[in-house]
Amino acid sequence: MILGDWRWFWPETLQYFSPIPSAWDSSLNTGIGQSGLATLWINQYLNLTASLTHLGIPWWTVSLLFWQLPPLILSAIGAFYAYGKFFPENKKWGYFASLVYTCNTYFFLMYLGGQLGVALAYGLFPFVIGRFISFFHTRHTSRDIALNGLLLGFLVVFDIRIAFLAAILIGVSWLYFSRHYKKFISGIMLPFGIAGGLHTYWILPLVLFRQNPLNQYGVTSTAEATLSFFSFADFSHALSLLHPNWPENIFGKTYFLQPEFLLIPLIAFCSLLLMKEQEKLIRFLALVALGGVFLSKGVQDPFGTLYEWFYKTIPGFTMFRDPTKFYVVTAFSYAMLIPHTLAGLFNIKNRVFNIVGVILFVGLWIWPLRLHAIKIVDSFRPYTIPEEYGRLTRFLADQPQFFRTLWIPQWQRYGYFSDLHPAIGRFEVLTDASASGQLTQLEVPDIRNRLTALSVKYIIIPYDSQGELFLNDRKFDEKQYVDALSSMRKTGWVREIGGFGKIGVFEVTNPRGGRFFYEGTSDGGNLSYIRKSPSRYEVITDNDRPIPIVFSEKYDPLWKVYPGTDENVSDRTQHNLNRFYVPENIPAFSVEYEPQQGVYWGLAVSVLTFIFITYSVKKKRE
Amino acid sequence: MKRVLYFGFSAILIAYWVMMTFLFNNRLSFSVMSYPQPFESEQVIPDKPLLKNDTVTLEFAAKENHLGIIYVRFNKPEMTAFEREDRLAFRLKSKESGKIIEEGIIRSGLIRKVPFIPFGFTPIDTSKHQTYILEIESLFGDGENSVSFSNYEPRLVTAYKFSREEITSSVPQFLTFMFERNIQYFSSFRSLELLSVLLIYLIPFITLWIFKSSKKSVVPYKESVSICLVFFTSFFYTYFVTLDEIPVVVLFQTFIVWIFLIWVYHLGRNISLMVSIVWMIAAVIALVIYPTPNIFAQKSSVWFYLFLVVGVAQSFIEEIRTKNKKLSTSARKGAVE
Repeated sequence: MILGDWRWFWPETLQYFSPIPSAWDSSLNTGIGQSGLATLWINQYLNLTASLTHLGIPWWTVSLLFWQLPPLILSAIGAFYAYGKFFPENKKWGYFASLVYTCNTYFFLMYLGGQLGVALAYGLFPFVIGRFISFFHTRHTSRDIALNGLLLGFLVVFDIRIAFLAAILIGVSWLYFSRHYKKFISGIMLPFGIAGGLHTYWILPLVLFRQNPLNQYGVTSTAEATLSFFSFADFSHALSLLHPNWPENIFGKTYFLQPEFLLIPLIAFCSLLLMKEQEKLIRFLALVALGGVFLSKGVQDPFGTLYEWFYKTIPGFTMFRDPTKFYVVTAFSYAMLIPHTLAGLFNIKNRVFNIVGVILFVGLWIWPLRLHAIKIVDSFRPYTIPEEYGRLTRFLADQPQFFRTLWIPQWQRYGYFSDLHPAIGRFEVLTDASASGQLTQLEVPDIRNRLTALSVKYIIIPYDSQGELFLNDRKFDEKQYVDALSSMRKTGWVREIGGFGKIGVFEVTNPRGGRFFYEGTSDGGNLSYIRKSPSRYEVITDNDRPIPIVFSEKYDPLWKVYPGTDENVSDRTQHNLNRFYVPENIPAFSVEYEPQQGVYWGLAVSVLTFIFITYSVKKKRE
Repeated sequence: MKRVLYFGFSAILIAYWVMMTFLFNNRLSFSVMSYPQPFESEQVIPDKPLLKNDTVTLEFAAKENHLGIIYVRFNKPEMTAFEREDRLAFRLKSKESGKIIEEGIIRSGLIRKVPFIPFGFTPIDTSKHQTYILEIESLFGDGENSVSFSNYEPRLVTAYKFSREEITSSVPQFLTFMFERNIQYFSSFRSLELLSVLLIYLIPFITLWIFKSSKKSVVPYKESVSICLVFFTSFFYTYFVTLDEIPVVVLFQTFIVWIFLIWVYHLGRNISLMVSIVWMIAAVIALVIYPTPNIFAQKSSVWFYLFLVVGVAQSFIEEIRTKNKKLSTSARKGAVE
């Protein structure tokens, strides 16, 4: 099944996925290693679900059951659930809430783009908001508090930005509906505390080691230029809940507004004219919708500088470099308001009129979205992976020693990688966007030395089966692919290995190999090591020479030698790897990523929290 | 006292109208005079997007000395990544000598932000009655990132920057300059456009005057007249005045006037909501009639949002008032009992 950015994993890759969270990411999102703390909340869900393949369940089944189907199901049921919570007397109109929330351009493009983590959060969002807001009106039990905390915890797992939006919305709703301190404690503090407890396994090490998880969202970028670029949606797009990249979903390409979508806000806000019951809630939802619309346009006029001010001033707002995340809020409010308008319009005694009106509405809603709805259904169709990628996977995976592969211009979605054989192909070493530019960079001696230090054994020119890598004007350009192959064939320090169809595989002559080696040696020296986990290695040396040892992962000062002193921390090599000065007469030592200890402590708290939640939930039933 | 206040406010509002309509009307510096330049009949302005190496030549005669800015109106291009933007070379030449006086490069991304793009250069002190040629060449146009000329007039405007000393050397000099400046500015408008531009900043004064007119005056149905006045003036301003976006001053002014009307006539939230719905219907109709560019729909959406915000705010205020009323009623009942 193919869905945009969604990933495929070979069984040989999946065997390295572990249910125990790791603070170091040695191969999942990078080929040279990096701290995994900033994205551990979503990566851990991936690791947990991927670990199910160890029980013999194929990845495509896991992907379907835990990633691809849930957003569709959750968003439909969640919207229905939330509508029922808000308007219990009009529950049957909740089906339209499901329709509006699930079938809109924002969700469709997000889903088809393969952003399944965000889609899962989008699906869970109505559950969270519905439960929390109704909590302020009704009596509650400890079970409700525990469930709310659990749901919020899950929302953080899938997307921390949408969880942030939910938190803001919950806070505002408490101010509007309650303002009672007891409800604040039971409705906000306790569930948030429970959610925080569930996520202690990644929060604790971030706090202990003072790492900012927001750095991944480009906090250090030039705010104005970045915000301006990412503010794709203009005001009318934001108002109409029309994704600016609709319909082609090409990043950066925006399209003109289509008139039928302007009817959406018209219908939604007509609910203000039809308010009879639940006026307070309608007002609140309208206010939320207005806020979502205003923020979704980012720095575009009118009053775009306000967004820039928010970005620079409000803590956490730097997560919203891409303002289209606020579409979630708009979608949710419209999903609650539109059925309310319909309930007011089609509540007359003429049954025929009501039925025809409803059918007309559903038809007009679905019609502009029909092609993309077909694409979503089509995405569940099995797709045959090019056979050469299977051959390449087996060839690489069968080799027991550690090495890396370098993919030019990028790692291909069916490319093999694992902790034993990481794949470099996300501009970690070669930074040029084009294949020709990267091949030119390869000629630089310093780059070749870096590849040696990284133990790169194979350079791969992938077969671009999906037309995603060799692009000219957003279209596949065969010439770029052919030129890249031809250029590699002329490179003197590699030899081509045939037998992989359209994939060009080139073996580096005299690769180094090994994750650890003595600095300055060509063969690496007499070193052996055991990989205990991505964040822990046990190394055995002869150690009869006082030469520093290089650990071939991206430099991070939190890598340490044990046993050792404070001086046995990682030093940066010229190729941005880790260097250790190991004390003499220590033939065996371990190299550990220090935050992993924080992960273990945090994991204990998370498990205890989970046990507490389970007990609270069961207690009511007993 | 009330009369004094009324006359004071009226004077302020008239002064506001004079300033906004005649002094700060063209959003340029005080000392800049602008002239729309109609294209010569033999000039061919392509309506297709400019591709690489396409060159358009525009010839015009300068109306004054101190030519310093040339505005060219394009359609808003599609958004593209920064490195894929087209770059347009602007070259200003003297027709007589053929020499390039000034040249510069403008990226299509900037034209997307400011479709009526200014090409500025060092003022030419002796430009009056000289004929110039402006060449615009696309350097990287590929269809996806290309720009095209707008059909909305004026498509070419020349601006002349006078020195402050020249303008303010005497009162007659200043008045003559302002008179000529405004003649040029207003002569570029068509009739409905001119009416909109002249009226828009007068709305605050007119609504105040309608409100203060006595009950037996010739203005019946003051409330309805005021609402229609505000709506139709902003409607004509939106649809007939060629602006890519509504000026913040106009938005803010309309907002203040509307709040005033709500306050004095006790307009309910439904009025604001109905007005917003009318704007949205206008946006839909505008988009059907003029699919591209969608600036009319964009501007109408802004009005829709503005009135919607007011309507929602009113409903919140009504809720608070109802709540307070209930509280005071129950307090009174309790006291009686």
